[in-house]
Amino acid sequence: MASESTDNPASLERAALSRALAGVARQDRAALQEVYRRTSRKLFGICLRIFGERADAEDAMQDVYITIWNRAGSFDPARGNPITWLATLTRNRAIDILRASGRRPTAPIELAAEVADERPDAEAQLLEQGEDARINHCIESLAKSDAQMIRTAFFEGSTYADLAARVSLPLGTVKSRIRRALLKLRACLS
Amino acid sequence: MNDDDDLLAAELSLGLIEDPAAAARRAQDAQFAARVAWWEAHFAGLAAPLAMEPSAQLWPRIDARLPQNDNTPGNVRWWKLTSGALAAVAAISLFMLAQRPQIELPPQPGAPAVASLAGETGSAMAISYDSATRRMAIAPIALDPGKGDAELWVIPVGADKAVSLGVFDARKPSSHQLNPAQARLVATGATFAVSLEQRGGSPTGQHVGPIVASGKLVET
Repeated sequence: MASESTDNPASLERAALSRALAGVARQDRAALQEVYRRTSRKLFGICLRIFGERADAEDAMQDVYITIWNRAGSFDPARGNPITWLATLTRNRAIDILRASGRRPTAPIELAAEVADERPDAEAQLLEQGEDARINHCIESLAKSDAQMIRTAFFEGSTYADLAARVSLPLGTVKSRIRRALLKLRACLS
Repeated sequence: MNDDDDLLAAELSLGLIEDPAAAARRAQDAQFAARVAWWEAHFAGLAAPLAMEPSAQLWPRIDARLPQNDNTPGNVRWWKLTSGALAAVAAISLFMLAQRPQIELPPQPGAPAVASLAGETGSAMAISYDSATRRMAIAPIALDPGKGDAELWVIPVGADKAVSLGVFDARKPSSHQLNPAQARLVATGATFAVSLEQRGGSPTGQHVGPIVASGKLVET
């Protein structure tokens, strides 16, 4: 892994975003527009995955950027990556909105058969940049059905109990499978 | 940190469990909080950007929901206010506006003030306003009200609610005479906004359609 240099595009982007967030913390709306310009596509992707349709995703995006406006002061550039901070805030806010609306997804999930994933890594590399690639690589190394459940938890806010109902497996089974998968994931990520 | 604790951190960051005790632990136990953050940072990477962008109307809608503060560089006093303080200032200003006796001020001589209203795709409209004569000139640059009407709003300095100045022709320049009540709202530093409404304008007194352009009135 190459050490981080100040002139690589990802760290320049990170620095620009940290500066913009500092501006937002001073309640500078032009700075929020800058944050929006740099992140709306990625954050919209998260909302769209969670809500599944544009109108709801855009409503959630309004809430997300108002939340960013109110909370930018709590982001510490020395301790975190601004993109991660924003993506986490967006995902959590969107899941909160989804849960509050009483539309928690309940549709049954058919777990994938346990076959090796044949998607070439190159495609994943194209989609993700830098450290994002790692989780995506690691999750592909899990059994497909376990990866599917973890993705569902992330994108749909499903709890163990929700998942158990949706995949029609006993709660204990779902729990132990996911916990085993999380330990494998940790080993791969560390 | 043992596996059980680390798994708890992972479960909390994914929302697999809804456990107030675990959430409270995050607030109190720095080591545990760091593990939750570690998992969160990795899971955040699952969200790869999609090939879809939000619509061009989204930013103006967000912008319209922000407190109407003055962020002009150099205006340090405003910069240091928190949004809560801003809301309080806005409420007080609005109260004072309502309490202000209805006295006609003599016209102030000077050059007209101007506002450049920008939307998501750049300059959308220009306004010039002469406080001495209360005449306002509107020059649309890029506005498309479709089958509806464009409505002009002013957010007075320090207030957080927009007041309608009425609908206007979005396709050609026009000139308007403000009445004294409207003129009291339109001062340097006030923000203009344009929303796209149904024919005849918003029926509610607040904008219903999207805000497509906004800008601050400044001295020339």
